[in-house]
Amino acid sequence: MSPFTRRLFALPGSLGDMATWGTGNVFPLLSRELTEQAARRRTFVVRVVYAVVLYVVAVWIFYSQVHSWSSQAFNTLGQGEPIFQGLAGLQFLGIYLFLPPMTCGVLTAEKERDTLSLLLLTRLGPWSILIGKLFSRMVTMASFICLSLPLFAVAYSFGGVEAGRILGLGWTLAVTILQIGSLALACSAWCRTTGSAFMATYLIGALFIIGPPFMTQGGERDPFGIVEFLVEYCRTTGFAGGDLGREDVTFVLFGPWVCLAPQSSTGQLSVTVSRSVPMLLSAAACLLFARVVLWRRAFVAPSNVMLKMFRSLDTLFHRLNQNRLTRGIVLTREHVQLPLYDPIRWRETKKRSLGTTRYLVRLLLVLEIPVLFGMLIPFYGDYNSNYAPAFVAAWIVWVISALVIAIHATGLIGLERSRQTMDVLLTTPLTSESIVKEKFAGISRMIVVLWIPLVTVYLYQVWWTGWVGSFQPGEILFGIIRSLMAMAIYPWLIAWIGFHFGMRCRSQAQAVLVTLGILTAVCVIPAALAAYLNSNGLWTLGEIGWLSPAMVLIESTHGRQMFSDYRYSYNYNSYLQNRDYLVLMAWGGLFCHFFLACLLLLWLRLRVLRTFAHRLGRNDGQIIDDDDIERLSELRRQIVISGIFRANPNDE
Amino acid sequence: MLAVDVRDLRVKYGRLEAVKGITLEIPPGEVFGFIGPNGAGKSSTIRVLATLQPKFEGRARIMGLDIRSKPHLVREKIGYVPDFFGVYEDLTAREYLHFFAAAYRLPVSKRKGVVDDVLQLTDLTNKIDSPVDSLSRGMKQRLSLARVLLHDPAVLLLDEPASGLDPRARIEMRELLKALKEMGKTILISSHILHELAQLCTRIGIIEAGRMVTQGSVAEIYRELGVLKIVHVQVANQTPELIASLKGLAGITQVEDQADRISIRFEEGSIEVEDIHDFIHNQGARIRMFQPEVMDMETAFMKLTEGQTA
Repeated sequence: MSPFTRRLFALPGSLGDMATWGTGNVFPLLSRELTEQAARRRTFVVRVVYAVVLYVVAVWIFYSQVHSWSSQAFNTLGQGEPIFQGLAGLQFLGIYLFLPPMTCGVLTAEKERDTLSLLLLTRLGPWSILIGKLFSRMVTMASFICLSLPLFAVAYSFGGVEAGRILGLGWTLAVTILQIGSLALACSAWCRTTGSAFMATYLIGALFIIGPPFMTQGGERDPFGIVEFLVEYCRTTGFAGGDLGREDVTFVLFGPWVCLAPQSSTGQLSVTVSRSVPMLLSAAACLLFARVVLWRRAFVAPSNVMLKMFRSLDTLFHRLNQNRLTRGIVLTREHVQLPLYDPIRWRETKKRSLGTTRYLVRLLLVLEIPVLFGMLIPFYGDYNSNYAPAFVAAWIVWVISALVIAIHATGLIGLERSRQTMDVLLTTPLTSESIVKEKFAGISRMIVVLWIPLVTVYLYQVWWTGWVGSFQPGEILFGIIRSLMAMAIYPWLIAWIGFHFGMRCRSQAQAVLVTLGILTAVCVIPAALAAYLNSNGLWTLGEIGWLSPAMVLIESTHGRQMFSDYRYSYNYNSYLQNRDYLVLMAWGGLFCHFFLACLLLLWLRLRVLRTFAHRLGRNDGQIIDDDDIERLSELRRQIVISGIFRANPNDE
Repeated sequence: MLAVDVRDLRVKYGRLEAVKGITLEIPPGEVFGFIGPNGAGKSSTIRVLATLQPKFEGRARIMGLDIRSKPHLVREKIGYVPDFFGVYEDLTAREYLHFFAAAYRLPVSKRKGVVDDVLQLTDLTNKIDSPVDSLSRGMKQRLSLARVLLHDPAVLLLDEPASGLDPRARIEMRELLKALKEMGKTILISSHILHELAQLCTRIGIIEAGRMVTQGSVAEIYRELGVLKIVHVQVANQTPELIASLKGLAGITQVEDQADRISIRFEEGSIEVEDIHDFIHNQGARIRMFQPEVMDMETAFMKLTEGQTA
């Protein structure tokens, strides 16, 4: 065994030192991390939020189940399975949502604070550090999971759920925590910043967990025969129950599928345990990867991912431009002049990568060319039914636009803070309002550039709905107005939200995460609420879905959907009777949505302008000072003496 | 009119009271050294004066302008150099200075001349087109000083400008500050390196745990505290008679005959260093080394902050 391999597989240093440190200090780092987390208010806030969400959704599940059963109490017997499934799904969702943000910063935060080197220089071995960090988050997540134990007891009391199923779920949840925690830990060991580790965790997680079934179309496409081999192996050896289908094999890394899929619900703990072996192996691989890169990536220099991406794009465009046809043609030649009157505007538009014309042209080409190609697809396929490219392209452009705007807007203050230039700027005579407005100059240019691919997509939609789809003029007009309003308001709204949280959060990564989290919540929560209310027949209240920008964007890509609500699609007569109501609700919903969005935009803008100085610790003055008070007192005294007003008797 | 006028200044961060009633009066043209350990409240006081602390109690004025009510006017009068390098790394030195010249609304026609002048003063003329990122720490700090001189402020607020600099850069910074002193600027400079300020400042204030322990000239502080000054002397032909005669000299408190030197202790004001030199010379001794103790401010500081320093 080579020295490196020996070091790699060496027992955690703290285990070796157990004799000298005592069993109470087996993992000193774990102890410290747990103590630190227990001392943070955030831990308790998150736990309470988790518990509230869990119990509210649980009550909803219970209510919906009881509501669906008849009034006779005996009918509820043996109905624990749907409740069990709902609660289990919720727990898995909790792990996927909460664990990556909790874990991805365990090592990157140390790198950002320059304390990882100090940790590595202690007597703690690499495995001690990794296991200490990982377990500290796993314990916290496990405490969240334990909150649901009373709820599972209720589900069990209804009957229909075997004890083996509950034990199997407990095992799978533990393995999922280990799997996702290890993945986040590996990303944290590799990445330099918490933000990049967070993104990497979700991207890699999606790639490995959902990627196989997506790429193999549920196990149907199997060019290398891997799916077939695994299915055959399980059948012949009896491993994992022996009855795994082709689709099951592609989902082996996905906890809910391992535990809850109908094919998996055998109720035998041993089967669930054997099916979770791939998840355990993936966790082991992640831990091994984290161990390998812990030292190698401990001192990696910070790098600007956006700048690197643009430099790569620069190189690509230069290469593409050097051909016989264009011969290195230069369309825009930027002459950077010195700032004359608006220095911040000058820097935002001339010096920052996402503000300069050169890079904006590159951004435009990167977005516009794929969009144009996407628009051409229908001409080579089924002419009438290929509306999908416009739908997909609009969504992709919106998601990319939201990401780019959020990153740029949060960086307007975040980067000034991280470079420690904010204080210097705040001591200049520039007013707070002018600083904010000039800061937005770069974003304004970028939004104008992002409009171009959106206009392309929407023009295509208008053409398709008018000429191919045979939509009514009212429906087309509705789609056009929605698209234009969305383009006019959403980018600015995202920018101001990003700027607001850029001011409030300590780091840009945190601000980006909060901004994207809020955008996701605003898109998802009203839509989910509307779906729930509609499913319970509360259709009028279901119009709350209009609050969701995602719903509005979906509608604007389909144009006519609001005029032909799915609730009436099964009954044409009913649809005809309610058509006027639907049209009214559609226009009303559209108006209300954008009216509220405009109000929110104006409020945010006003709030940012008003609180900018306060948030950044700048003294912007107040109307009355000591001298003013003295002057006012003197004035009042003179007025009183002049006899115009009677003096206050108390003064005399 | 005082250049800096602070009365009973109090700054709180939550429950922590960082500054507990500091009073400070600095007339125009004075270089005031603000000495104290880390966390003593130096930066908080300077941030109030730099209009970067909205919440504070007491009164603070710069050139007669109230900071609470007229911060926009105060900003025209001050130049603030923080204790970190607040420089945009994607700009060149020229662009950086023109950026702030525009921020201070200098007339466009005058900007080039002013930028050239401040670069010359800070000895950065040959770095005018260098990216700020490529400059050394000392150069970046000099560039920061060049920045605050653009609008010719009356008061300079320098928060530990020499921290993190190597000895050469420190000396360059000190010489630059001396030049600014000669130009008549009022300078409030903070540091926890005592002897640096002792050489530069006309007055010194020692701050500890948010309170001003004492303030005055270096000599006044020595006198107030009764701190002994020390002169280390080496002579080629040392004799017991020389030691005895030194002990008998009026004003001398203690003479210690050490292995390689004679350490002479005396109270500030009781005798001049030059007189001691003349006395030894007149005794026929050939002086090899004559070194007044430069670090004696450390003693003053330790005595003043006894039992309080974190």
